[in-house]
Amino acid sequence: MSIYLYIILGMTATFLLCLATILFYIKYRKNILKKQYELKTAEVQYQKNLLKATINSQESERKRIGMDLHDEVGANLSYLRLLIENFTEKNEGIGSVNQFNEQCRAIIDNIITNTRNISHNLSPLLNKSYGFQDMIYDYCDGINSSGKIAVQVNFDQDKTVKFADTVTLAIYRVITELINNTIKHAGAKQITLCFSFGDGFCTIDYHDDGTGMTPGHKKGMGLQNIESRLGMIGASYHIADNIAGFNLSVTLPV
Amino acid sequence: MHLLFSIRTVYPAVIAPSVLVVPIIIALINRKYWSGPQKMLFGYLLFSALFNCIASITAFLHINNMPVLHLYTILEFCLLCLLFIVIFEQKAVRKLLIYALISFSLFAIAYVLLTHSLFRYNTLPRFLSSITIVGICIYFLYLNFANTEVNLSRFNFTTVIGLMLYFSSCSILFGLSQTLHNKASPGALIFVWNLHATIMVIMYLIFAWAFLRLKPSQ
Repeated sequence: MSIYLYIILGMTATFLLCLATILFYIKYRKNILKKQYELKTAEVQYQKNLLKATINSQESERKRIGMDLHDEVGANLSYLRLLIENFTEKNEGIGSVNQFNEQCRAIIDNIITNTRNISHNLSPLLNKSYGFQDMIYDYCDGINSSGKIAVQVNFDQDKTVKFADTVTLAIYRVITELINNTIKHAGAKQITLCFSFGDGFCTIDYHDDGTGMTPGHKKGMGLQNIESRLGMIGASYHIADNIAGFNLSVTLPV
Repeated sequence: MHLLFSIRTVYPAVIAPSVLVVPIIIALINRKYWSGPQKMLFGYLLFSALFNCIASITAFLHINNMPVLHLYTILEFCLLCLLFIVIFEQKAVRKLLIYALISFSLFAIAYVLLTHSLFRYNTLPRFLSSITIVGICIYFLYLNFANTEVNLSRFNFTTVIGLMLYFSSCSILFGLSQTLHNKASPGALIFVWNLHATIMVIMYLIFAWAFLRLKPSQ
């Protein structure tokens, strides 16, 4: 066989061998990268599940403490109040007893109110007749009554909003965290909270007239909690930095 | 016969080198994304275009262009070493490439002077340069194969594939070019150089692809 045939065969064989090696190399690398991606996805999913379990157990613990406070402490306080009233009726006419009775009743009423508030704050879902709108209005009324900041709440529909318990609780916690952040860091005078409902989704627009968030601001614990809770209910959020103050828009599927 | 010969040589001497225009134009279109490796490869393409022109003109004028090939071999190796110096991040590899660049240049000059082969094929230096380039390409692939954490630059990877395909396939031809020239018939000679030109075209098209897929992050 002539030398040129050897050369042609050699060149062709080397070319094909090289091509095959490169293709194998690319395929193998792709497989490795795919496996790495799958591992990372599984890890992220595991972290999400862990976070969800943590939040759920935290909420159930809050609910339990809230129920104990409401049912045990609240009931016993009411019973104590009745005992004192009964005692007063039997000893009517003694001035010092009347005065003691008035003081005790005032203190017990105050404790009952505080206990109820604490138990509701711990678990707003304790009162089943208490809707999502009521929860939000109630919380905002409490903030407004302080007189330091005004919270304006708007629902674009009059109908009663019904979310699943987990969603209700997550949104409630997000809103309380946002308001808390505004009070602590923003120096704002006005907060506006708008709930609007579209076809299969709900949008929550939160706006305050405070100092706002500087671009590239590192996420604090509060914002991370908000992100986690929103992620848990499949909601997305966007922080607009082109408007004065702090603006956050949440979209969640309903 | 002479006309037929011209038609048969038009592919390796004119058409195949003209393909160089494709990666050059694409590179110029995407020049805003250039960084070190892109500049070096573009330099290599311009250099190849210049030497291909000289080779084609001298061939048409029936002037022995072997001295041009000697110079081309040295400069091509130097340019490709510089390209790899830009591609590799390891200092030791870069240093090794500089040593390889200097020692190969000295060897190629000494080879011409000692063997008085200025007007003959420089089989040994050309073969050595192509084998060295293939070795460097394999080392690049090995580095990225072993370390999956490294984010492989698509441009560098494509460039290395192009170089590896061309130089590994043509090493045998470079090593036996003088023997082939002495023993093979003109028709066989043209067939082999046509094959070489085809592989060269594939390399240029791979370079064009590398430039075409340039993105800002690269």
